[in-house]
Amino acid sequence: MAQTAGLIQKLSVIPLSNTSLACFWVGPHPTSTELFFILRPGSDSASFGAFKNSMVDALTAAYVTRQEVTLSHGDGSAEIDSLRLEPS
Amino acid sequence: MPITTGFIQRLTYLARIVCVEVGPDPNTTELFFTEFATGDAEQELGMKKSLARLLFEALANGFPIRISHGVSSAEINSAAIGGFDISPIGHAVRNDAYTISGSGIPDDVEVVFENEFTITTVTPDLVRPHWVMLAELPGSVSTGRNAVRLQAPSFSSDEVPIDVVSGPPIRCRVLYPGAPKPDPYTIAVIANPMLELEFRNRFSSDPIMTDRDGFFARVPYVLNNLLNVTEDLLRQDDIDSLMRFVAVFDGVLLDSNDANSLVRLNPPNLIGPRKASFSSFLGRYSEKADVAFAVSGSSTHTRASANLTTDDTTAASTTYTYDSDGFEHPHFYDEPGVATLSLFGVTTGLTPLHEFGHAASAWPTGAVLDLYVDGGPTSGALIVNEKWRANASDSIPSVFGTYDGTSYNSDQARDSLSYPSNWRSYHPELIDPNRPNLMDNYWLAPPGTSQQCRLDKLTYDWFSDRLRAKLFR
Repeated sequence: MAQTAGLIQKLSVIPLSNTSLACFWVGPHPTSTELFFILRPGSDSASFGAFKNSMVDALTAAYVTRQEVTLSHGDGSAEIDSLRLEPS
Repeated sequence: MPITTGFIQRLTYLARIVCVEVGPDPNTTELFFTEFATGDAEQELGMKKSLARLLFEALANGFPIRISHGVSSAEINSAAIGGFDISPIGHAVRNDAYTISGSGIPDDVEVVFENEFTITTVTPDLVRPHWVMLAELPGSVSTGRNAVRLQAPSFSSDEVPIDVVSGPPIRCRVLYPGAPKPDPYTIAVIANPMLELEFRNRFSSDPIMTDRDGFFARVPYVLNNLLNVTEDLLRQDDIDSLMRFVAVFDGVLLDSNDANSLVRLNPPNLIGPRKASFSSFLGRYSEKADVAFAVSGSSTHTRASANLTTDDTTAASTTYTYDSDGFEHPHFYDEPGVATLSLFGVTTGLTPLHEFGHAASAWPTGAVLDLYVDGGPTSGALIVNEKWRANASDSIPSVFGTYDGTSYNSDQARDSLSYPSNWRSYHPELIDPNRPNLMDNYWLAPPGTSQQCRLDKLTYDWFSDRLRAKLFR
Protein backbone atom coordinates (compact mmCIF):
# COMPACT_ATOMS: atom_id res chain seq x y z
CA MET A 1 0.00 0.00 0.00
CA ALA A 2 1.47 3.36 -1.07
CA GLN A 3 0.78 6.71 0.52
CA THR A 4 0.73 10.20 -0.95
CA ALA A 5 0.51 13.31 1.18
CA GLY A 6 -0.07 16.91 0.26
CA LEU A 7 -2.52 19.65 -0.44
CA ILE A 8 -5.51 19.16 -2.69
CA GLN A 9 -5.14 21.60 -5.56
CA LYS A 10 -8.30 20.79 -7.49
CA LEU A 11 -11.21 18.38 -7.27
CA SER A 12 -14.01 17.26 -9.48
CA VAL A 13 -17.19 15.26 -8.73
CA ILE A 14 -18.82 13.35 -11.57
CA PRO A 15 -22.08 11.46 -10.89
CA LEU A 16 -22.78 8.90 -13.61
CA SER A 17 -25.41 6.24 -14.06
CA ASN A 18 -23.05 3.25 -14.13
CA THR A 19 -19.95 4.22 -12.11
CA SER A 20 -19.58 7.59 -10.47
CA LEU A 21 -16.24 9.25 -9.96
CA ALA A 22 -14.49 11.93 -7.95
CA CYS A 23 -11.02 13.17 -8.92
CA PHE A 24 -8.44 14.90 -6.73
CA TRP A 25 -5.20 16.58 -7.75
CA VAL A 26 -2.74 16.45 -4.85
CA GLY A 27 0.66 18.10 -4.53
CA PRO A 28 2.72 20.84 -2.89
CA HIS A 29 1.84 23.46 -5.48
CA PRO A 30 -0.54 23.71 -8.44
CA THR A 31 1.92 22.65 -11.12
CA SER A 32 3.24 19.69 -9.16
CA THR A 33 0.33 17.35 -8.60
CA GLU A 34 -0.68 13.74 -8.91
CA LEU A 35 -4.21 12.69 -9.86
CA PHE A 36 -6.17 10.36 -7.57
CA PHE A 37 -9.76 9.21 -7.69
CA ILE A 38 -12.57 7.56 -5.82
CA LEU A 39 -14.78 5.25 -7.89
CA ARG A 40 -18.31 4.32 -6.98
CA PRO A 41 -19.34 1.33 -9.10
CA GLY A 42 -22.85 -0.04 -8.77
CA SER A 43 -21.42 -3.23 -7.32
CA ASP A 44 -20.42 -1.49 -4.08
CA SER A 45 -22.59 -2.27 -1.08
CA ALA A 46 -24.63 0.64 0.26
CA SER A 47 -22.45 0.86 3.34
CA PHE A 48 -19.18 0.82 1.40
CA GLY A 49 -20.57 3.36 -1.03
CA ALA A 50 -21.61 5.64 1.82
CA PHE A 51 -18.10 5.34 3.23
CA LYS A 52 -16.62 6.35 -0.12
CA ASN A 53 -18.90 9.37 -0.38
CA SER A 54 -17.93 10.31 3.12
CA MET A 55 -14.30 10.34 1.95
CA VAL A 56 -15.25 12.57 -1.00
CA ASP A 57 -16.93 14.97 1.40
CA ALA A 58 -13.93 14.99 3.75
CA LEU A 59 -11.58 15.72 0.87
CA THR A 60 -13.84 18.53 -0.29
CA ALA A 61 -13.73 20.06 3.19
CA ALA A 62 -9.95 19.56 3.33
CA TYR A 63 -9.57 21.48 0.08
CA VAL A 64 -11.53 24.53 1.13
CA THR A 65 -9.79 24.65 4.54
CA ARG A 66 -6.27 24.09 3.10
CA GLN A 67 -5.77 20.98 5.18
CA GLU A 68 -3.08 18.50 4.22
CA VAL A 69 -4.28 14.98 3.52
CA THR A 70 -2.55 11.62 3.36
CA LEU A 71 -4.06 9.25 0.82
CA SER A 72 -3.51 5.51 0.80
CA HIS A 73 -3.68 3.74 -2.53
CA GLY A 74 -2.39 0.60 -4.17
CA ASP A 75 1.13 0.52 -5.53
CA GLY A 76 0.81 1.72 -9.09
CA SER A 77 -2.83 2.68 -8.58
CA ALA A 78 -4.40 6.12 -8.24
CA GLU A 79 -7.60 4.84 -6.63
CA ILE A 80 -7.93 6.13 -3.05
CA ASP A 81 -8.52 3.35 -0.52
CA SER A 82 -8.33 5.39 2.64
CA LEU A 83 -7.28 8.80 3.85
CA ARG A 84 -5.92 10.46 6.96
CA LEU A 85 -6.09 14.04 8.22
CA GLU A 86 -4.22 15.49 11.18
CA PRO A 87 -5.20 18.49 13.27
CA SER A 88 -3.55 21.75 12.28
CA MET B 1 -19.56 19.46 -23.53
CA PRO B 2 -20.06 23.07 -22.40
CA ILE B 3 -18.46 24.27 -19.21
CA THR B 4 -19.74 27.23 -17.24
CA THR B 5 -17.51 28.85 -14.65
CA GLY B 6 -18.51 31.34 -12.01
CA PHE B 7 -19.49 31.99 -8.45
CA ILE B 8 -22.54 30.36 -6.93
CA GLN B 9 -24.94 33.14 -6.04
CA ARG B 10 -27.69 30.95 -4.62
CA LEU B 11 -28.14 27.30 -3.66
CA THR B 12 -31.66 25.92 -3.36
CA TYR B 13 -32.92 22.51 -2.22
CA LEU B 14 -36.41 21.98 -3.61
CA ALA B 15 -38.46 18.84 -4.34
CA ARG B 16 -35.54 16.39 -4.88
CA ILE B 17 -33.65 18.99 -6.88
CA VAL B 18 -30.57 20.96 -5.85
CA CYS B 19 -30.28 24.16 -7.88
CA VAL B 20 -27.41 26.58 -8.15
CA GLU B 21 -27.43 29.99 -9.74
CA VAL B 22 -24.00 30.73 -11.17
CA GLY B 23 -22.77 34.11 -12.33
CA PRO B 24 -20.74 37.18 -11.52
CA ASP B 25 -23.49 38.75 -9.37
CA PRO B 26 -26.95 37.80 -8.04
CA ASN B 27 -28.69 39.51 -10.94
CA THR B 28 -26.66 37.86 -13.68
CA THR B 29 -26.83 34.12 -13.27
CA GLU B 30 -27.49 30.87 -15.03
CA LEU B 31 -29.42 28.11 -13.32
CA PHE B 32 -28.05 24.57 -13.06
CA PHE B 33 -29.38 21.60 -11.14
CA THR B 34 -28.91 18.02 -10.11
CA GLU B 35 -31.91 15.82 -9.43
CA PHE B 36 -32.11 12.98 -6.94
CA ALA B 37 -34.39 10.96 -9.22
CA THR B 38 -36.35 7.88 -8.14
CA GLY B 39 -34.73 5.81 -10.87
CA ASP B 40 -31.15 6.73 -9.98
CA ALA B 41 -28.78 3.98 -8.94
CA GLU B 42 -27.71 4.00 -5.31
CA GLN B 43 -24.11 4.87 -6.24
CA GLU B 44 -25.25 7.77 -8.41
CA LEU B 45 -27.39 9.14 -5.58
CA GLY B 46 -24.38 8.91 -3.29
CA MET B 47 -22.19 10.89 -5.65
CA LYS B 48 -24.95 13.45 -6.24
CA LYS B 49 -24.99 13.92 -2.48
CA SER B 50 -21.24 14.60 -2.61
CA LEU B 51 -21.83 16.91 -5.56
CA ALA B 52 -24.34 18.88 -3.46
CA ARG B 53 -21.74 19.07 -0.68
CA LEU B 54 -19.20 20.40 -3.17
CA LEU B 55 -21.67 23.04 -4.36
CA PHE B 56 -22.32 24.09 -0.77
CA GLU B 57 -18.59 24.35 0.05
CA ALA B 58 -18.00 26.43 -3.09
CA LEU B 59 -20.78 28.77 -2.05
CA ALA B 60 -19.79 28.96 1.59
CA ASN B 61 -16.11 29.54 0.93
CA GLY B 62 -16.35 31.78 -2.13
CA PHE B 63 -14.72 29.46 -4.63
CA PRO B 64 -15.63 29.73 -8.30
CA ILE B 65 -17.13 26.54 -9.65
CA ARG B 66 -16.80 24.89 -13.05
CA ILE B 67 -19.96 23.11 -14.09
CA SER B 68 -20.06 20.73 -17.02
CA HIS B 69 -23.49 20.31 -18.59
CA GLY B 70 -25.22 19.32 -21.84
CA VAL B 71 -25.33 21.65 -24.83
CA SER B 72 -28.92 22.62 -24.22
CA SER B 73 -29.31 21.26 -20.75
CA ALA B 74 -28.96 22.83 -17.29
CA GLU B 75 -28.46 19.45 -15.61
CA ILE B 76 -25.03 19.22 -14.01
CA ASN B 77 -22.87 16.42 -15.37
CA SER B 78 -19.91 17.23 -13.17
CA ALA B 79 -18.60 20.07 -11.02
CA ALA B 80 -15.08 21.05 -10.04
CA ILE B 81 -13.40 23.59 -7.78
CA GLY B 82 -9.77 24.59 -7.51
CA GLY B 83 -7.16 24.71 -10.20
CA PHE B 84 -5.78 28.09 -9.14
CA ASP B 85 -2.15 28.79 -10.01
CA ILE B 86 -1.24 29.48 -6.38
CA SER B 87 -2.07 27.54 -3.26
CA PRO B 88 -2.39 29.11 0.20
CA ILE B 89 -1.07 26.69 2.81
CA GLY B 90 -2.95 26.25 6.06
CA HIS B 91 -5.24 28.61 7.91
CA ALA B 92 -4.83 32.36 7.46
CA VAL B 93 -4.39 33.68 10.99
CA ARG B 94 -3.62 37.35 11.64
CA ASN B 95 -0.23 37.91 13.28
CA ASP B 96 0.78 34.31 12.53
CA ALA B 97 3.10 33.08 9.79
CA TYR B 98 1.54 32.50 6.39
CA THR B 99 2.79 30.79 3.25
CA ILE B 100 1.63 30.37 -0.34
CA SER B 101 2.96 27.94 -2.94
CA GLY B 102 3.02 28.40 -6.69
CA SER B 103 5.50 28.16 -9.52
CA GLY B 104 7.82 30.57 -11.28
CA ILE B 105 7.47 33.12 -8.48
CA PRO B 106 9.90 36.02 -9.05
CA ASP B 107 12.11 37.52 -6.33
CA ASP B 108 10.28 40.85 -6.42
CA VAL B 109 6.85 39.38 -5.75
CA GLU B 110 4.39 40.91 -3.32
CA VAL B 111 1.44 39.33 -1.56
CA VAL B 112 -1.83 41.22 -1.91
CA PHE B 113 -4.83 40.70 0.38
CA GLU B 114 -8.00 42.34 -0.78
CA ASN B 115 -11.60 42.56 0.34
CA GLU B 116 -14.34 45.07 -0.24
CA PHE B 117 -12.89 47.40 2.39
CA THR B 118 -9.11 47.14 2.29
CA ILE B 119 -6.15 46.22 0.13
CA THR B 120 -3.01 45.21 2.00
CA THR B 121 0.21 44.60 0.12
CA VAL B 122 3.02 42.76 1.88
CA THR B 123 6.60 42.03 0.84
CA PRO B 124 7.35 38.39 1.69
CA ASP B 125 10.12 37.53 4.12
CA LEU B 126 11.17 34.54 2.03
CA VAL B 127 10.79 33.99 -1.70
CA ARG B 128 11.54 30.80 -3.55
CA PRO B 129 10.28 30.04 -7.07
CA HIS B 130 7.71 27.65 -5.61
CA TRP B 131 6.68 29.36 -2.35
CA VAL B 132 6.68 32.56 -0.35
CA MET B 133 6.54 33.15 3.38
CA LEU B 134 5.22 35.99 5.47
CA ALA B 135 6.68 35.92 8.97
CA GLU B 136 3.43 37.50 10.04
CA LEU B 137 0.12 37.95 8.30
CA PRO B 138 -0.42 41.65 9.05
CA GLY B 139 -3.04 42.75 11.53
CA SER B 140 -4.15 45.28 8.93
CA VAL B 141 -5.67 42.48 6.84
CA SER B 142 -9.37 42.36 7.61
CA THR B 143 -10.75 39.24 9.20
CA GLY B 144 -13.27 37.33 7.15
CA ARG B 145 -13.32 36.70 3.44
CA ASN B 146 -10.37 38.05 1.46
CA ALA B 147 -8.86 37.33 -1.91
CA VAL B 148 -5.11 36.72 -1.91
CA ARG B 149 -2.86 36.96 -4.94
CA LEU B 150 0.81 37.29 -5.82
CA GLN B 151 1.91 40.15 -8.02
CA ALA B 152 5.14 41.53 -9.46
CA PRO B 153 5.88 43.77 -12.44
CA SER B 154 6.20 40.68 -14.64
CA PHE B 155 4.02 38.25 -12.73
CA SER B 156 0.43 38.00 -11.65
CA SER B 157 -1.35 35.06 -10.09
CA ASP B 158 -4.96 34.05 -9.74
CA GLU B 159 -6.96 35.49 -6.86
CA VAL B 160 -7.76 32.81 -4.32
CA PRO B 161 -10.45 33.20 -1.65
CA ILE B 162 -9.30 32.78 1.93
CA ASP B 163 -10.95 33.31 5.28
CA VAL B 164 -8.72 35.32 7.61
CA VAL B 165 -9.23 34.76 11.33
CA SER B 166 -7.82 36.61 14.33
CA GLY B 167 -6.65 33.48 16.12
CA PRO B 168 -5.65 31.23 17.64
CA PRO B 169 -2.20 30.85 16.09
CA ILE B 170 -1.24 27.48 14.66
CA ARG B 171 1.03 25.46 16.97
CA CYS B 172 2.73 23.50 14.21
CA ARG B 173 2.61 25.28 10.89
CA VAL B 174 3.46 23.51 7.67
CA LEU B 175 5.33 26.18 5.76
CA TYR B 176 5.76 24.11 2.61
CA PRO B 177 4.56 20.51 2.29
CA GLY B 178 7.37 19.12 0.13
CA ALA B 179 7.24 16.04 -2.05
CA PRO B 180 3.81 14.38 -1.97
CA LYS B 181 4.80 11.35 0.06
CA PRO B 182 4.62 10.39 3.73
CA ASP B 183 8.33 10.87 4.43
CA PRO B 184 9.60 13.89 2.49
CA TYR B 185 12.99 15.26 3.52
CA THR B 186 11.96 17.62 6.29
CA ILE B 187 13.55 20.60 8.00
CA ALA B 188 11.88 21.83 11.18
CA VAL B 189 12.41 25.08 13.07
CA ILE B 190 11.14 24.89 16.65
CA ALA B 191 10.76 27.43 19.44
CA ASN B 192 12.37 25.66 22.40
CA PRO B 193 9.84 25.44 25.24
CA MET B 194 12.16 24.58 28.13
CA LEU B 195 15.84 25.06 28.88
CA GLU B 196 17.79 22.43 30.73
CA LEU B 197 20.04 24.40 33.05
CA GLU B 198 23.72 23.79 33.47
CA PHE B 199 22.88 21.82 36.60
CA ARG B 200 21.43 18.72 34.99
CA ASN B 201 17.75 17.81 35.23
CA ARG B 202 16.65 21.27 36.23
CA PHE B 203 14.45 23.05 33.76
CA SER B 204 13.10 26.52 33.27
CA SER B 205 10.95 28.12 30.63
CA ASP B 206 12.85 29.36 27.59
CA PRO B 207 12.30 33.14 27.22
CA ILE B 208 11.50 32.63 23.56
CA MET B 209 8.11 31.30 24.61
CA THR B 210 7.08 34.87 25.42
CA ASP B 211 8.23 36.14 22.02
CA ARG B 212 6.24 34.46 19.30
CA ASP B 213 6.79 37.42 16.96
CA GLY B 214 10.54 37.21 17.50
CA PHE B 215 10.54 33.50 16.73
CA PHE B 216 8.62 33.91 13.51
CA ALA B 217 10.86 36.79 12.49
CA ARG B 218 13.79 34.42 12.97
CA VAL B 219 12.28 31.58 10.89
CA PRO B 220 12.63 33.33 7.50
CA TYR B 221 16.17 34.34 8.49
CA VAL B 222 16.99 30.66 9.03
CA LEU B 223 15.33 29.60 5.79
CA ASN B 224 16.89 32.41 3.75
CA ASN B 225 20.25 31.35 5.13
CA LEU B 226 19.63 27.78 4.01
CA LEU B 227 18.09 28.61 0.65
CA ASN B 228 19.04 32.06 -0.59
CA VAL B 229 22.70 32.80 0.20
CA THR B 230 25.50 32.24 -2.33
CA GLU B 231 26.02 28.61 -1.35
CA ASP B 232 23.34 26.76 -3.33
CA LEU B 233 23.67 23.31 -1.76
CA LEU B 234 20.02 23.13 -0.76
CA ARG B 235 18.51 24.95 -3.72
CA GLN B 236 20.54 23.55 -6.64
CA ASP B 237 18.15 22.42 -9.39
CA ASP B 238 15.33 23.60 -7.09
CA ILE B 239 15.71 20.44 -4.99
CA ASP B 240 14.21 22.37 -2.11
CA SER B 241 10.86 22.04 -3.90
CA LEU B 242 10.94 18.44 -2.66
CA MET B 243 11.71 19.42 0.93
CA ARG B 244 9.13 19.91 3.64
CA PHE B 245 9.49 22.85 6.00
CA VAL B 246 7.61 23.18 9.29
CA ALA B 247 7.74 25.64 12.17
CA VAL B 248 6.59 24.87 15.71
CA PHE B 249 5.68 27.41 18.37
CA ASP B 250 3.55 25.75 20.99
CA GLY B 251 2.66 28.27 23.66
CA VAL B 252 0.78 25.78 25.81
CA LEU B 253 3.80 23.61 26.69
CA LEU B 254 4.31 24.91 30.20
CA ASP B 255 5.51 21.80 32.01
CA SER B 256 9.13 22.03 33.13
CA ASN B 257 10.09 18.56 32.13
CA ASP B 258 12.51 16.63 30.02
CA ALA B 259 10.09 16.10 27.12
CA ASN B 260 9.64 19.84 26.60
CA SER B 261 13.33 20.67 26.57
CA LEU B 262 15.31 20.67 23.34
CA VAL B 263 18.17 22.88 24.52
CA ARG B 264 20.71 22.44 27.28
CA LEU B 265 22.74 25.39 28.58
CA ASN B 266 26.42 24.48 28.58
CA PRO B 267 29.25 26.60 29.97
CA PRO B 268 30.35 29.15 29.16
CA ASN B 269 27.63 30.29 26.74
CA LEU B 270 26.76 27.32 24.53
CA ILE B 271 23.20 26.26 23.71
CA GLY B 272 23.47 22.54 23.10
CA PRO B 273 20.81 20.45 21.37
CA ARG B 274 19.22 17.67 23.42
CA LYS B 275 19.19 15.33 20.47
CA ALA B 276 17.21 12.50 22.03
CA SER B 277 14.19 14.75 22.66
CA PHE B 278 13.58 16.05 19.14
CA SER B 279 11.84 13.06 17.52
CA SER B 280 9.33 12.53 20.28
CA PHE B 281 8.70 16.27 20.51
CA LEU B 282 7.89 16.54 16.82
CA GLY B 283 5.86 13.34 16.99
CA ARG B 284 3.26 15.18 19.07
CA TYR B 285 2.42 17.10 15.93
CA SER B 286 2.66 14.04 13.66
CA GLU B 287 5.84 15.48 12.20
CA LYS B 288 9.27 13.98 11.57
CA ALA B 289 12.37 15.90 10.59
CA ASP B 290 15.66 14.96 9.03
CA VAL B 291 17.16 18.13 10.45
CA ALA B 292 15.63 20.21 13.22
CA PHE B 293 16.64 23.59 14.61
CA ALA B 294 15.68 24.62 18.13
CA VAL B 295 15.67 28.38 18.62
CA SER B 296 16.34 29.63 22.14
CA GLY B 297 15.75 33.02 23.71
CA SER B 298 18.34 32.58 26.44
CA SER B 299 20.08 35.88 27.02
CA THR B 300 23.10 34.32 28.76
CA HIS B 301 23.80 31.43 26.39
CA THR B 302 23.72 32.36 22.73
CA ARG B 303 26.34 30.29 20.93
CA ALA B 304 24.80 27.89 18.40
CA SER B 305 25.83 24.26 18.10
CA ALA B 306 24.84 21.06 16.35
CA ASN B 307 24.71 17.32 16.77
CA LEU B 308 25.08 15.12 13.71
CA THR B 309 22.44 12.80 12.28
CA THR B 310 22.44 9.18 13.35
CA ASP B 311 21.72 7.34 10.13
CA ASP B 312 19.63 4.20 9.87
CA THR B 313 22.21 1.86 8.39
CA THR B 314 19.78 -1.07 8.24
CA ALA B 315 17.41 0.49 5.69
CA ALA B 316 17.84 1.41 2.01
CA SER B 317 20.95 3.31 0.99
CA THR B 318 22.96 4.53 -1.99
CA THR B 319 26.52 3.29 -2.24
CA TYR B 320 29.61 5.35 -3.06
CA THR B 321 33.35 5.20 -2.76
CA TYR B 322 35.55 7.56 -0.78
CA ASP B 323 39.21 7.05 -1.65
CA SER B 324 39.40 3.28 -2.06
CA ASP B 325 36.71 2.35 0.46
CA GLY B 326 33.02 1.68 -0.05
CA PHE B 327 30.42 3.67 1.93
CA GLU B 328 26.68 4.32 1.86
CA HIS B 329 24.35 7.31 1.90
CA PRO B 330 21.54 5.92 4.11
CA HIS B 331 18.09 7.08 3.01
CA PHE B 332 16.64 7.23 6.52
CA TYR B 333 17.77 8.16 10.00
CA ASP B 334 17.52 6.73 13.48
CA GLU B 335 17.81 10.15 15.07
CA PRO B 336 17.62 13.47 13.23
CA GLY B 337 20.45 15.90 12.90
CA VAL B 338 19.78 18.75 15.32
CA ALA B 339 21.09 22.24 15.90
CA THR B 340 20.42 25.17 18.17
CA LEU B 341 20.19 28.82 17.22
CA SER B 342 19.93 31.91 19.35
CA LEU B 343 17.10 34.37 18.96
CA PHE B 344 19.78 37.03 19.33
CA GLY B 345 22.35 35.61 16.90
CA VAL B 346 23.92 38.00 14.41
CA THR B 347 22.12 37.69 11.10
CA THR B 348 24.91 38.75 8.75
CA GLY B 349 26.71 35.41 8.86
CA LEU B 350 25.99 31.83 7.95
CA THR B 351 25.23 30.28 11.32
CA PRO B 352 22.08 28.35 10.27
CA LEU B 353 23.69 26.96 7.11
CA HIS B 354 26.94 26.17 8.93
CA GLU B 355 25.07 24.29 11.65
CA PHE B 356 23.02 22.55 8.98
CA GLY B 357 26.31 21.42 7.46
CA HIS B 358 27.06 19.59 10.69
CA ALA B 359 23.56 18.41 11.55
CA ALA B 360 22.73 17.02 8.10
CA SER B 361 25.96 15.06 8.02
CA ALA B 362 26.20 11.91 10.09
CA TRP B 363 28.25 10.26 12.72
CA PRO B 364 29.98 7.93 12.07
CA THR B 365 28.73 7.41 8.50
CA GLY B 366 29.92 10.72 7.06
CA ALA B 367 30.76 13.71 9.23
CA VAL B 368 31.29 17.31 8.15
CA LEU B 369 33.38 19.02 10.82
CA ASP B 370 34.49 22.52 11.77
CA LEU B 371 37.56 23.56 9.83
CA TYR B 372 38.58 26.35 12.18
CA VAL B 373 40.01 23.86 14.65
CA ASP B 374 42.79 21.37 14.00
CA GLY B 375 41.09 18.38 15.60
CA GLY B 376 42.40 14.97 14.83
CA PRO B 377 41.52 11.76 13.03
CA THR B 378 38.90 9.49 14.59
CA SER B 379 39.05 5.79 13.94
CA GLY B 380 35.79 4.18 12.82
CA ALA B 381 34.25 7.37 11.45
CA LEU B 382 34.33 8.86 7.96
CA ILE B 383 35.35 12.52 8.10
CA VAL B 384 34.40 14.01 4.76
CA ASN B 385 35.95 17.46 4.74
CA GLU B 386 39.19 17.15 6.66
CA LYS B 387 42.31 14.98 6.74
CA TRP B 388 45.43 15.05 8.80
CA ARG B 389 49.13 14.82 8.03
CA ALA B 390 51.44 12.69 10.18
CA ASN B 391 53.39 15.83 11.15
CA ALA B 392 52.55 19.52 10.88
CA SER B 393 55.79 20.02 8.95
CA ASP B 394 54.77 17.56 6.21
CA SER B 395 53.71 19.15 2.96
CA ILE B 396 50.01 19.13 2.08
CA PRO B 397 49.29 16.45 -0.56
CA SER B 398 48.25 17.91 -3.89
CA VAL B 399 45.33 15.50 -4.11
CA PHE B 400 42.98 15.54 -1.12
CA GLY B 401 41.03 12.44 -2.02
CA THR B 402 38.72 10.67 -4.41
CA TYR B 403 34.93 10.67 -4.15
CA ASP B 404 33.01 8.25 -6.34
CA GLY B 405 35.87 8.06 -8.82
CA THR B 406 36.50 11.79 -9.07
CA SER B 407 39.76 13.20 -7.76
CA TYR B 408 39.72 16.39 -5.66
CA ASN B 409 42.72 18.58 -4.94
CA SER B 410 43.66 19.89 -1.52
CA ASP B 411 43.30 23.49 -0.43
CA GLN B 412 46.98 24.35 -0.18
CA ALA B 413 46.50 27.78 1.37
CA ARG B 414 43.28 27.47 3.40
CA ASP B 415 42.14 30.35 1.16
CA SER B 416 43.33 33.62 2.68
CA LEU B 417 43.52 32.30 6.22
CA SER B 418 46.52 29.92 5.86
CA TYR B 419 47.05 26.87 8.06
CA PRO B 420 48.66 27.62 11.43
CA SER B 421 52.14 26.13 11.51
CA ASN B 422 51.24 23.65 14.24
CA TRP B 423 48.16 22.28 12.45
CA ARG B 424 48.24 18.83 10.92
CA SER B 425 44.82 19.13 9.30
CA TYR B 426 44.17 20.15 5.72
CA HIS B 427 41.05 20.62 3.63
CA PRO B 428 39.70 19.97 0.12
CA GLU B 429 39.95 22.62 -2.59
CA LEU B 430 37.40 25.41 -2.27
CA ILE B 431 34.68 26.28 -4.77
CA ASP B 432 35.44 29.96 -4.11
CA PRO B 433 39.12 30.27 -3.18
CA ASN B 434 38.73 33.92 -2.23
CA ARG B 435 36.69 33.30 0.88
CA PRO B 436 36.84 30.88 3.82
CA ASN B 437 35.01 27.59 3.67
CA LEU B 438 31.43 27.70 4.94
CA MET B 439 32.55 25.17 7.58
CA ASP B 440 35.61 27.30 8.48
CA ASN B 441 35.61 30.71 10.17
CA TYR B 442 33.43 32.52 7.65
CA TRP B 443 33.49 35.63 9.85
CA LEU B 444 37.01 36.21 8.51
CA ALA B 445 35.75 36.72 4.98
CA PRO B 446 36.18 40.25 3.60
CA PRO B 447 33.83 42.60 5.44
CA GLY B 448 30.23 42.20 4.41
CA THR B 449 30.80 39.05 2.38
CA SER B 450 30.45 36.25 4.95
CA GLN B 451 27.24 35.10 3.32
CA GLN B 452 29.11 34.54 0.07
CA CYS B 453 31.28 31.77 1.55
CA ARG B 454 30.83 28.34 0.05
CA LEU B 455 31.80 24.76 0.70
CA ASP B 456 34.78 22.95 -0.75
CA LYS B 457 34.27 21.02 -3.96
CA LEU B 458 34.41 17.53 -2.51
CA THR B 459 32.03 18.19 0.38
CA TYR B 460 29.61 19.94 -1.94
CA ASP B 461 29.45 16.91 -4.23
CA TRP B 462 29.27 14.45 -1.34
CA PHE B 463 26.51 16.47 0.36
CA SER B 464 24.58 16.88 -2.87
CA ASP B 465 24.51 13.11 -3.32
CA ARG B 466 23.61 12.55 0.33
CA LEU B 467 20.68 14.96 0.08
CA ARG B 468 19.48 13.43 -3.15
CA ALA B 469 19.64 9.94 -1.68
CA LYS B 470 17.31 11.13 1.07
CA LEU B 471 15.10 13.34 -1.11
CA PHE B 472 14.31 10.50 -3.50
CA ARG B 473 13.92 7.72 -0.88
